[in-house]
Amino acid sequence: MKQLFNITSSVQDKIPIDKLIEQHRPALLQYACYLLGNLEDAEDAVQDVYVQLHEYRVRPQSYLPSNPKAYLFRCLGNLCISQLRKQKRTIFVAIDEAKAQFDQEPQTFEEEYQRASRLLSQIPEEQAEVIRLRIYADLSFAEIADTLSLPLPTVKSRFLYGIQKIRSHMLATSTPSFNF
Amino acid sequence: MNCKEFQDQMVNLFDKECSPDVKARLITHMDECASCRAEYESMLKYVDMLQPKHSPVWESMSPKHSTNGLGHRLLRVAASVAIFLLGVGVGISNFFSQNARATDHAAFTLSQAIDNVRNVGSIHYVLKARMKPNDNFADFYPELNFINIDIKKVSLDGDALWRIEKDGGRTVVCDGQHQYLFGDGITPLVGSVNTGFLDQFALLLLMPHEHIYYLQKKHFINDKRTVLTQTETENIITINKAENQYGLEMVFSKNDELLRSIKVWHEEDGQKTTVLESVIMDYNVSIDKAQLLALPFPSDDSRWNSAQGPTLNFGKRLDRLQQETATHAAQRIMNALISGKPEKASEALYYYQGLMPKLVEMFKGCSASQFSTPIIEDDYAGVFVRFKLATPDGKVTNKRLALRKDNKQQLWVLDGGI
Ligand SMILES: [Zn+2]
Repeated sequence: MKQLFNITSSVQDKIPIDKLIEQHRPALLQYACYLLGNLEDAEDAVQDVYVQLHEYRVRPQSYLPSNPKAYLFRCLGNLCISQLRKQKRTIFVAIDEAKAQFDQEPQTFEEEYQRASRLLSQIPEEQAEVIRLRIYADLSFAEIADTLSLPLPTVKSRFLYGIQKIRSHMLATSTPSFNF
Repeated sequence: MNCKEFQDQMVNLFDKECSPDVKARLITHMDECASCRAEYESMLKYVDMLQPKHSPVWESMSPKHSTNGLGHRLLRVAASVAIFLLGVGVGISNFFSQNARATDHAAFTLSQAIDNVRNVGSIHYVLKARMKPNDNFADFYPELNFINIDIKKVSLDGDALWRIEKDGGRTVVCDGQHQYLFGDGITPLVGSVNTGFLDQFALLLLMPHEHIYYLQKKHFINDKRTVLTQTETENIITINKAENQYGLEMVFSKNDELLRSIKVWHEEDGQKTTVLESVIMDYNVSIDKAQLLALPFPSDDSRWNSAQGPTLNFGKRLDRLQQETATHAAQRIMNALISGKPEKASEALYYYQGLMPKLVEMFKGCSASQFSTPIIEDDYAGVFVRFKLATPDGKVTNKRLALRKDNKQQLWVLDGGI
């Protein structure tokens, strides 16, 4: 027996959308939280996806996605991003503030979100996207490949390069600045 | 495996699951090559930095309703038991990240075991625990004898169907839609699938794995007391003093990597007392569905009470009770019991309806005094009120009632400590 996500569409198709969403709700919410920055907006986004997919179901069978879970996360991701664009919201964190954040463990979701956003904003979005899907949406690399329609090795290397880049940024910022 | 191959494959250690074979080869290389290990650990540090520890999602999902919730004291022990039995998604292999090398191995073993348990179709466990048959599913009492707890779970079409039965006491059944609580002298209760009848014990069976992950993060991330021992056939993980005076040991068989035994002990003044121990841990056994879901009466029977709590008609009594302080409620409950008139506090004693005669008998001739102001503790959704109880023989003991008002009408309801 393998993990759920290795079960092909034949089994997952039988799970109704609402149940699928219920099953993955914590991961969906968390993923949306890390895109939108708060739980309220995240809950709205998950609800919107639910409505969107419900409409989808009445379409002909041939349109059904082959991996509903991956599709679910793709829809949610798109929805959050378009929402962010609409609001023209950018996360601004002052440099010294950000540094202070790295010195100590974040104590709240807000702080943690700020830190993660800051770290992820330093790397190409395509890498950040993979990292978000892995860490906040709790998808496996294979599922991410499905979600983003990318080859598996590309997903893996984007993850690795992303983390490496974050590391080099961090090491650069933490070097003592008084070098005279 | 050489260094080049290691660098190419290391990323798999950050996947949700990694084949045991690949994992083993990566670990073997790290054992031999300090620079590759350093590279992995350095990556791990940054992955870990991104891992959420304070998600509002978890906070909103923490169990709010539990019928007898003094479980907070043992939350961590229960959680530590549970994490091995339930799935953990994000980066469990990262979870002991800052620890010594040995715990990396422990994490790998755990991660595999969890994947395996998640993938089995049915579970049958028998645990023996020092618990009270009719008490909640959270508190251990080192001074009591063992009772058996029988746990059966079947995964069916994405639903978890399960039954937890305390020998001669409480039983909780979940049919995928509702949870039912019943047993001798207990008000039969029915609630939604997410009802907290099992307190933290629920973690054994039901909690979304993200929640477990949260608990795990919260309680173990910096735990350096985790040790992995290996024998020819087994991996043994020991956590000493996982929480205060509690310790934990789990044994996984090496061939299928499933959890095969578990033991939780309490340690005081250098003396260890086992409080929970597995007797049977079987997987993929056939379980009879009718027996699994058997109830004392049909699910639509009027004898089932709502787990939501008491409901009063609007009126003066409702106004009065809604304005009552927890201290007053505690006094009223104790006075009602001591005076032999429990109906005076029937709403507050909602969960104890079946035990009234017993409780009245128990408190005959006692007196209660010095009720404290409400005390709030971290992991409990209600409050505690302390008082002194004097028994007819002149003995005075300190007692603590657990009260909560997270029910529909916000009435104080006794939740434990009696
Ligand atoms: Zn090497």
